[in-house]
Amino acid sequence: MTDPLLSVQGLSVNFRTPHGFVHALRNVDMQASAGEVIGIVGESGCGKSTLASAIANLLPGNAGIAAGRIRFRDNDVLRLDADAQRRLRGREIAMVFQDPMTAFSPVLTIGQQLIEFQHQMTGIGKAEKRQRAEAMLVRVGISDARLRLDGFPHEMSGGMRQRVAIAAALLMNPSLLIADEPTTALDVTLEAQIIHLLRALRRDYNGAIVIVSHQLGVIAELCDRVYVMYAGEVVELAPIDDIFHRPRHPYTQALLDCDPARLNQRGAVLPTIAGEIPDLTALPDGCVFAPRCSFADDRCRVPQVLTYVSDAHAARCHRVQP
Amino acid sequence: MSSAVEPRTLPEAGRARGGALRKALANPMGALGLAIVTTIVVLALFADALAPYDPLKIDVLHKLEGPSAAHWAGTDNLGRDTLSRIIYGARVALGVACISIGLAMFVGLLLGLVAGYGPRWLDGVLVLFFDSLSALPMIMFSLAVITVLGPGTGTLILVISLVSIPGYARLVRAQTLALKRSDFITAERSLDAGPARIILIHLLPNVVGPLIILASMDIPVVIMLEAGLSFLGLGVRPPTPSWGSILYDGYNALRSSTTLVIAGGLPLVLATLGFTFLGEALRDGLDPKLQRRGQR
Amino acid sequence: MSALLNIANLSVCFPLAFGLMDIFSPRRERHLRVLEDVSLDLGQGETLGLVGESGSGKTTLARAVLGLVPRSAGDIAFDGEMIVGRSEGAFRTMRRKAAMMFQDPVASLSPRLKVGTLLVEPFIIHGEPVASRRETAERLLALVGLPAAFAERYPHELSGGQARRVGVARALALNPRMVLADEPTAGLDVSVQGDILNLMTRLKGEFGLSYIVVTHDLALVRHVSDRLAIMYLGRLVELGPTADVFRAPRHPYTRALLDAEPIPDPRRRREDLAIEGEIPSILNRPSGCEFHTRCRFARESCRNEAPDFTQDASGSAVRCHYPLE
Repeated sequence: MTDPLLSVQGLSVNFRTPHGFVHALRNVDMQASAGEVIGIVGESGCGKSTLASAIANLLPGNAGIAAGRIRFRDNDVLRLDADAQRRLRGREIAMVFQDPMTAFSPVLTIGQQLIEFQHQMTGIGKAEKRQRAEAMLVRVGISDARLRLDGFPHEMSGGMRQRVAIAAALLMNPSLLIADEPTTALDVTLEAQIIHLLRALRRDYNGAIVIVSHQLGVIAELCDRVYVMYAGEVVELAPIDDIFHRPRHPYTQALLDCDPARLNQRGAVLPTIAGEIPDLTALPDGCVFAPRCSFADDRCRVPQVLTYVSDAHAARCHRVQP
Repeated sequence: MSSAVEPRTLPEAGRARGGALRKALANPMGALGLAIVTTIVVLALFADALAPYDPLKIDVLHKLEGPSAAHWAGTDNLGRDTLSRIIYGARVALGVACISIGLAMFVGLLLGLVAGYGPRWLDGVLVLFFDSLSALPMIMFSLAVITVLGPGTGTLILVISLVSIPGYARLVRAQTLALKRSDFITAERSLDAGPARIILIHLLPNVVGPLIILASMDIPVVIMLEAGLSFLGLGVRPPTPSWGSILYDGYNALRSSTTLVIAGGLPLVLATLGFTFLGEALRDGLDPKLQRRGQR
Repeated sequence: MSALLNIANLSVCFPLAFGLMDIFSPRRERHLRVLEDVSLDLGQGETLGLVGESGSGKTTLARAVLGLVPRSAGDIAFDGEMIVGRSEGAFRTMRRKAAMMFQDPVASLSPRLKVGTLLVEPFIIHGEPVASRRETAERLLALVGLPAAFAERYPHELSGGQARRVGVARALALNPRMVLADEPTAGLDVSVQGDILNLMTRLKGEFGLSYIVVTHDLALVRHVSDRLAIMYLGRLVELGPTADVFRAPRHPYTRALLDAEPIPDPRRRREDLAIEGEIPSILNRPSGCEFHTRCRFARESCRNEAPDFTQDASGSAVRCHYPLE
């Protein structure tokens, strides 16, 4: 097996807040290889956006790396100096964000911004950059691309702006594309188009794609492997089919049961997971999901480890037998 | 349990103000400002106890003397103790400022709320009124009012209030217009709350904050205004001591003594600096964006 | 059949301000036609799902029903009475017997008032006597499963889920007949959105409520609504019992919406695109059937002629020249 492009090892991230230290990520391991589409799925507070920000080196000022490393190719991303980090972020790692409305500056044209995004590509002139930009717009499905280059972001709809954001991310030919909730802010018909686009782009894209989402449907449509996160930990990782058809962790199972799109019968009561996410400033010992788990017992009082049921499938629960 | 998972701090309405004062004090400029403002307030409140002499007592034999043991700030052109006049001048300055700003705030708040939330035609009329009022050159306006009502402190307060109203009203109106579209106002309308209820209970408490900040930043401006008008003889009538009138007396006596001019000008400068420093430190302390950054 | 709510030919139209630049480049539309000619009924004890994407007008429809947005045409009849006129006063009775739950639960609570005060406010506004304010607030909080201590909290001290519950409690304060819920699960995690919906269902049974649920989430609305109304560009395009609409949608847009929803099952990936193009701007409405620009079944007549909203015997309706079978 080829060396993974991206390797997150034992990453722990804290946030300093007036309420105390928020343990947003705890001992997270994750890998992505070229040609793969990885999904990171979880609900609020699970840390998926923190993980994405950490990989792209975009953590806010009050974040602290308590432990672990992020290796990208041969670099230890977190320990590079500021300049090197910026270069990495501009050239090798690209990110698409949730909100297409704020991804672009309102006072510059799309063309100006797309050319600006290529600023790290020394050796090609402005005219060529413009051509590349135009070609990329066509590739993401924007008709009349040449006209759009001279237009402003506010003249485009949300769906179109998200496409342009994807175009901007791909312009640098990054080895890693991270999409943080790429379709959450879009209407369902536009969401379908973006999913379709990402799938088409993937075919001739050589790098790795990481998709962060709380929507199981989006993950199911696009990903090869999935990491399920809960309260800052990876609780299950598996190939896409295993996650949806043979989930082993109680949280994954419960989450799937709650998705209304998976419910066949219209019952009187919709399933939920009782309780609330734990307070990340004061975590319990032992399994972090135990308070809400219907299978909890005494063995859950100790911290759980990832148990592998096959080469690529593991769950953080003592009930799982290899 | 609120979502402590997010690294952003929740805005805390009431606690913010106490925290703001603490932050203002942490800032050296704010601390200095607070010290100056406190001094002026103390002088104004306890002038009777603190002033060494009667500020109105004339003693022509000792006019325009420089600073001495008997008269720390010297005497003015009529032999009155300058220091006592400065101390009582603080009372005038603060008194005029607080009353006129208070009046202007009250009227501006109501008019701004009505303009912002009321029918469009009323808004049009009120905005016209505000624009007209602020278009008047103040000196001429004062002269006009004085001609009708006669000079004096009361007229002064009236003039300053009227001139300040548009600024406050416009601020309140802008805030109201913005809040009018909020979900919570729509929610109140869906419960069939009437305009009076919405304005007084739901809009007023939410617009009053910036108004208070603006008003506190206005205090030094009004002090200057009062001094300026008094200097021109359009403010408090002599012999009532006002920093502006001390300045005027000093200006006339400049060839004989520089002490008086400085005595009139210095408290003005200090007051303006003090209130401005404090006001800015408080405003920064209350600014939610600066709070959220967490570090400073 | 005596419907609880009857809406006939409702339109909402905002005039666009005439700016200086309009002299040089006159716009085609001088009005923002947000809702066009909407007619529907809500029966007693029924839950109607109002489904649509951005620009569909669904939220505006809910607001127009309560008079929060003035209607430019059409009639509203509630509980046997016609609403005459557009003034706030005309809606007084309606606002006492119907209540709304807003999409952003924290933003819809007045920030400087405590929860307890907010819960008692409907009584004060409508002049209903309240023996003990504290008891009333506690009773309402208990109804939605929140502890009595929450009466002392301010809106910003509530989580999204808690604020939603307060919104439900407030809506139910005066025992309404109808509740309009605007995106009741927006912002909630999948594992907890069932809580609020289950609560709404339970309260519906206990108090005999009727609901209009505005949402863009088809999977969800399937489980809570009896009938569905699909909206596009301010018009109703399909109306019918939920099960029927899901099983056999008749309007191509409904079909496209159902197909577009991503399925949480990797074995059932959709390879082709359900629908192309973007939602047109309401300032630039397409001619004829307004969906024709994106409809894969569009024919010549669709471009030229606008279809009627034809109701059949069972009350289902579709706005299409060639409805799907």
